[in-house]
Amino acid sequence: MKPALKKWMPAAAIPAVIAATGVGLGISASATPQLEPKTAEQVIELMAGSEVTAFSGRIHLSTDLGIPALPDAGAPASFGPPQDVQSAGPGDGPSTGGPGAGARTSAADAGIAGLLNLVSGSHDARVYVDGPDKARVQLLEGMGEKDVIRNGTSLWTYDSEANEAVHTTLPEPGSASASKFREHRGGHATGEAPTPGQLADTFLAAAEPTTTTTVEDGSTVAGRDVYNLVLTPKKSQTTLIEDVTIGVDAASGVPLAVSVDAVGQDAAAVDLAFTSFTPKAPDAKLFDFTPPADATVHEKNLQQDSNWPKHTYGQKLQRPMPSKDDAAHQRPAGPPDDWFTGTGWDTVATIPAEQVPAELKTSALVGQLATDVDGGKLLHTSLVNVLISDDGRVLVGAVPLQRLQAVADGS
Amino acid sequence: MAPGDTGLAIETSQLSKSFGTRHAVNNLDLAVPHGSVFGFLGPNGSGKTTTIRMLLGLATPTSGSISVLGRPMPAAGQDVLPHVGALVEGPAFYPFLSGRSNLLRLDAANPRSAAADRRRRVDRALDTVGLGQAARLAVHAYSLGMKQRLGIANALATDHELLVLDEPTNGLDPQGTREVRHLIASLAGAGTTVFISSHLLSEIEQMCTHAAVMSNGNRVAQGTLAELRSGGNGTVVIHTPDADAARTVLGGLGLLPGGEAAQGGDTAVVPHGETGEEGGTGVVQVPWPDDEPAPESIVAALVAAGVRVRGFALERPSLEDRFVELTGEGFDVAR
Amino acid sequence: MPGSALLVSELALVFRRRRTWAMLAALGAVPVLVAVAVRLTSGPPTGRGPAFLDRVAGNGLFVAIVGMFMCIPLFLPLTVSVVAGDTIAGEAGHGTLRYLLIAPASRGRLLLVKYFGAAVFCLAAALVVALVGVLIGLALFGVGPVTLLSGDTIPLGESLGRIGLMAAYVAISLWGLAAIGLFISTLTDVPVGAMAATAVLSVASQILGQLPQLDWLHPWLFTQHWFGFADLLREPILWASFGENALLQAGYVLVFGALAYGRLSTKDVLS
Repeated sequence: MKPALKKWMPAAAIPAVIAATGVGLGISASATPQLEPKTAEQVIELMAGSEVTAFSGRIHLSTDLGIPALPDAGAPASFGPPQDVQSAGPGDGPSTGGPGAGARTSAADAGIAGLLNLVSGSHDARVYVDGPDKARVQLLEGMGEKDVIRNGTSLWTYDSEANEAVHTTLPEPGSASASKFREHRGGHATGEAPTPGQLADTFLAAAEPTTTTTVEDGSTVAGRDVYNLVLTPKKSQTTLIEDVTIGVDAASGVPLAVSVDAVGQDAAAVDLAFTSFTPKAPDAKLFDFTPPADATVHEKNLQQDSNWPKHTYGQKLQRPMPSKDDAAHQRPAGPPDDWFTGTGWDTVATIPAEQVPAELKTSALVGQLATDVDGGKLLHTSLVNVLISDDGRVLVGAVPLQRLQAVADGS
Repeated sequence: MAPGDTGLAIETSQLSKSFGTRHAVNNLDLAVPHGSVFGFLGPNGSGKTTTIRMLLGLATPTSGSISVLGRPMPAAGQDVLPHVGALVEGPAFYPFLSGRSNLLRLDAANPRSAAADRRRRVDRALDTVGLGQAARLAVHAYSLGMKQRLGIANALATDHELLVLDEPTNGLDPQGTREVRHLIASLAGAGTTVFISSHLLSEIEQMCTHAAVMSNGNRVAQGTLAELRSGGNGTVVIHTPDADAARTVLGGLGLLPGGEAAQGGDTAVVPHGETGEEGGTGVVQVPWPDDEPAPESIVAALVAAGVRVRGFALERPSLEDRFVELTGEGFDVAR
Repeated sequence: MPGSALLVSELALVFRRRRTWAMLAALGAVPVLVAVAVRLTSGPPTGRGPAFLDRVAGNGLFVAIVGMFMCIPLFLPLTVSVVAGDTIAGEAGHGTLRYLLIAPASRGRLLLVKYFGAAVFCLAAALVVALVGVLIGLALFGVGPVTLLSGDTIPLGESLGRIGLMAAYVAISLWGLAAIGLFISTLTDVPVGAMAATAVLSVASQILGQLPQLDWLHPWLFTQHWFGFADLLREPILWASFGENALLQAGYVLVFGALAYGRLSTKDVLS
């Protein structure tokens, strides 16, 4: 029977070769690269001194915040009938009564669901950057795509599913509002995923007295060797964040990966990394956007919308991300300092009842997701807790529930 | 293909094939000489087709070895098979293709057949089997006999050293059967070795020079037709009124072994029906196992002893008797 | 070349069958039905129905794209299952397998040739959907430059090129399934059984791909990237899914091709 066995050899060998290749690639990908040892300061310096201003790459974002999956969320086409408004918030009569309330509540839910969808599961995006005023981000979806294209003072967003384009004319560079805009404009305002560089900046700003900063073994991101800068909250901090790891490209200093670990969770809560990265200027044509002839085009003038919030990135992280609707229409004025309790990792933001968007209270989806706790309702994720207190305030922080409750009681 | 040292077109040694616990072929030794027309005879289910499948590399032997045209099978199949034309277990074709397209496809599958004269060779083969008119008809419109002819045409499309034909006259009318017989005779005349399996004795008897007989997976006989016939006992049949005297004389010639005299089967005085009553003639039959003594000396001895020999015959068993004896089964003589 | 004659013969065998043409006609009917339906109903409400359906009325080229989207989950795998399941089992069923083998076509060569026939059918099937889609779109709606998912608009010639690429993507997507069908086809002498088993696998794989509990398995499913040709409608083209899909399908072709070889070359051909 020996010849017969020989005939089966390819069938045994080919899967073995494939498996071996796969394992081999896995090993070489997870192999620790040989890097010149650097201290944390040197790595931060490397990052700060990075001269890469033009690059293109693909980014993968995966989030595991312990939020239940919402199969229908974020898919506007499959929206069901308006949900029961009354169940949303006992004691908070819907502030916007009347016939339109149901529809509005769904719209708000759509916003929240879309947001939840964005921060759960995994997402892919392509990023093209050429200098400070040319950028394009493409959020890749199965059959669709959302684009943000900035070219000088022209900012386009395009949503392929709605076939809708929004054009915004940004202030001339140099004007006061322009710098304000830039400060604000981390990429957050449109709900797009931040680049690793932006996230890394965010955490470095918040570091100092509360954080231990170390450099761990290097690794490989997008085929490039990186230093891993690890920010660990000090013991004195009561926070949900275990640590934050920033992968800094050894060659260029560009942060290529950021991952945030939550206390008591094996998988990273947020893992944002380039899967490919080319530090070269992208094709200039990519930044010339002409909306499709058959698209709905909205024109927006930024100058009219002058009151941009001026919060820093560090603070922003500890607030719930604003939904698109918030960003566009009813962004509150910049949060005053007295909203914040504590400093560093265990900062808690308290939003006064009158500032809380009505949609949040009436949202059926929030009603579904929240659990009743002492003193209010809790929206829990593995990184951030949100307490909607019975008196209408909203407390937010990357902290355990007990601290939110304590802050709520204390003020 | 150079013939092997043995001078045999097909040789198998201790060839066996089992399907699970069923032994389809058991320790088969075949020796098919070059240039012979070899009959492979046996009842249905005796292992003929399984053997042919192994000869052609379609099935792998459980044990034993095969050599075809001097090369081992199935190992050397790609070298051997281009020289072998075959019809295995009936013709099989794509019903939606024409007869001609079918043959062209099968010929294209042979990497050693020349593409240049493919059409010419196929058309010639179709004419040879009398399918020239129906060549462009889809095969599903063919009768069983036409398909059989097409199958033979396929085996003829290239010139082969060896033809293996499994039941080649199946489904043919008497005219077609005759044509096939002539065809095989002419091929054999041109030096092609032909290996024919059949359950029809008459076919083998009329066409073959050699034969092997299968029964239940075992080869029970093999040799030239003459050898096979002579393998059985001849019988001396004497018509005479003087039966007792005749037996005495035959006993004197050693043709009446004492032990067998008591058995009614081998030697008997058969009252010859009506003839016996009319003329008082009896029939004496005695076995003539070794073809000795010579018939003329038997007659001379009888006459010398005053036996009135009215009829004398040497009967050999027909092949059919012989095969029934070997296989313990009858053949479908007419089918 | 000695081997090419059988290759040509195999293509003739596949494409001279009325069954093949019936299947291609059925596939071609899908974009025609889409186009006629859109024409008669003056367009569906946006956001409903298959992707891009709302673009059809504006640009006939989208008929081809919608047609491919509609055919890839079921119709294309069904027809490919019929052809691939028939490869060896069909020959065995007709009894022609034994005559091919003693012709002699070696078992390895026969497998290659049969797979080649099935692979070409995959390509033909995808091209029929695309081509009929473009033609009916041209007839009913007129064609023009295509708006990509990224919002960029590309000229007509390049648009046709992208549709051709999508057809190639679809064909490649089906090659893994064809290899699976080839292997199943070596297991039986009953072609219908092999066809059904292959079709069932293509559906089962898509169902498994829907179960989030099995997401560790998803990258290995041959149906995983079947819808990925939308990535060819981005600017610049996202080649990653094309490459991953091609690599995955190549893996399936190699593994199941080797299995089919193991099976056919050790099998007693008794049919």
